[in-house]
Amino acid sequence: MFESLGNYILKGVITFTLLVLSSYEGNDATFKALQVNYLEGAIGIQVQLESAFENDFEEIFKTGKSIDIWFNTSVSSQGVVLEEEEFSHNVTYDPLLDSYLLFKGSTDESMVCEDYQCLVKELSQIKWHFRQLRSVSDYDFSISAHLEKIYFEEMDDDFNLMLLWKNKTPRLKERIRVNLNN
Amino acid sequence: MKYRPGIRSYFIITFIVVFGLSIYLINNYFLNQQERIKGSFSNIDAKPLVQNLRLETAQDSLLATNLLNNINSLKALTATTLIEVKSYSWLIIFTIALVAFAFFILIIMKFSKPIIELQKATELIQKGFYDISLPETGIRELRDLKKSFNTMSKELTNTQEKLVESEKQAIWKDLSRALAHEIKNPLTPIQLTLQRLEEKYDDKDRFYAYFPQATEVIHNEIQNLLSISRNFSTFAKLVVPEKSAFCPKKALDNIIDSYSANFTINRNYNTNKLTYFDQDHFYQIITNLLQNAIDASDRGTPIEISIKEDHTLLIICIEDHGIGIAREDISRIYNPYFTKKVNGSGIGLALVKKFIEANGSAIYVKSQEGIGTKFRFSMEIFNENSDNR
Repeated sequence: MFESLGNYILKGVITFTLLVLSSYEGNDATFKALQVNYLEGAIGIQVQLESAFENDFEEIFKTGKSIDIWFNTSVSSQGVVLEEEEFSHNVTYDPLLDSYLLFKGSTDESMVCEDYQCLVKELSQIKWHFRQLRSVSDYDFSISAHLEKIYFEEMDDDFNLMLLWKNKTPRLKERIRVNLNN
Repeated sequence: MKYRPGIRSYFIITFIVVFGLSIYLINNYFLNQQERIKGSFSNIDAKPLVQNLRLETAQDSLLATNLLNNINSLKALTATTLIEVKSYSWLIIFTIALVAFAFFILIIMKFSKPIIELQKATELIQKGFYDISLPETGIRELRDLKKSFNTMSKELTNTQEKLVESEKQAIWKDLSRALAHEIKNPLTPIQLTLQRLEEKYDDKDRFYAYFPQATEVIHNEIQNLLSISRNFSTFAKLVVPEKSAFCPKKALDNIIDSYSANFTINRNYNTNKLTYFDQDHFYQIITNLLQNAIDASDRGTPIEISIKEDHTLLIICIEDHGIGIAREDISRIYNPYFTKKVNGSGIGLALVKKFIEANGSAIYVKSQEGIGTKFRFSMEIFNENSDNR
């Protein structure tokens, strides 16, 4: 318990000092524009991850390594967690074709992006859905994203991709009243 | 209390400025170098070269893909290294600065503590406390300095004790000499008168004719001896002031009126403020100072007496334009029985000083030979609401 508390404090200190003292411009990743669509017996949710991949990500993607952007979602009502889900958007670059292969775990879609702008656009759109339980209720939707370390054989060392987001985890939490009767 | 930066503040500010600037410059230098390396790697573009190759088999394509990925990985490596440096450099610098600052503060304390001890000890010596011993601890140079200070303090104590002893002896010598002289003066006429009486004893007419004159001389000289004894006794006694509120202007007027028929005394005052002082002491102070001024001045030369207000004080000045006091005598004028007058007892100014100090004030003198002398002392203005009673 003490070890995890120590790690948590250390992480907090590092994040704070990075925010205050870092000279790295990085990316200020934030979730915007949560949209809710009503499907048959389910609710579809769509959010946009903005300002997340503008700086330095292109060079990382172009290493040809399989890179995952992980998303954690949850839906709760009256303090009770109804559904939690973790999925990733995976990017792999093909240097010969100069294109990106994108797999979106949220919708199980695969696609090829010919340029980086297209990749960023597709990568930033997150859609998922959950089964509707009640016809009228307040639902708390939350989503967060994180990146993992990548391993460089040449350096025999890891690089924490979260540094590109200045160690800040983008999060969004929003309460929405769903009324299927209207 | 107004803050005045001391030696520690100057050291700390210098450290922060020099350390901060150096670190900033070094960090910027290395960041620029890394930017240059990143820029050089970014310019490498192997794709056009690979596209010109004939990739006939899947094996060829795989090899080309690996080659391009390796080159791109190297580019990414330089980029990620720069990102890490940019992200963590200030954190590392900040940590180093904190540790360095903590060490610096410890060293500064080690340096400044003995200096502050020395400063306080010097202040004590300035106030007259000579017997001070500082702990001989700390770094070598400062330990040696404190050792020297302790030696100096011991020597000062010894010198001070010797000085006090020799001063005491000198005062006793002066006192004895002056007393002997004072006693001898009336004794000589008494002795001479008695001799003349003895000479005339056989001739009754001459004896009876001279007898009243002789008894008068003897009586007067005995009175002089009593007066000397009284003065000596007054000076030796502990003076306890009996303060009361009175108007110094009126008191001065009364004193000056008794002199003004024979001497020119200018009254430069018009304040009616009351003071809180022993009135008998005030009378003796003024009459002594005024008499000294008269004795030092030529007949007809005016003497100035003034009262000035200064915040809560009344400043009394008595100034003459007489012979003045020689520079070598000025430090001895308050010594008992020191006098330059032919008929002076040398007790007057010593008593003046004693009375003024007993009332919680001090006397100042300014004199120039051939120009004149100015005596000045202050008295508190009486305020019913204050606690100066």
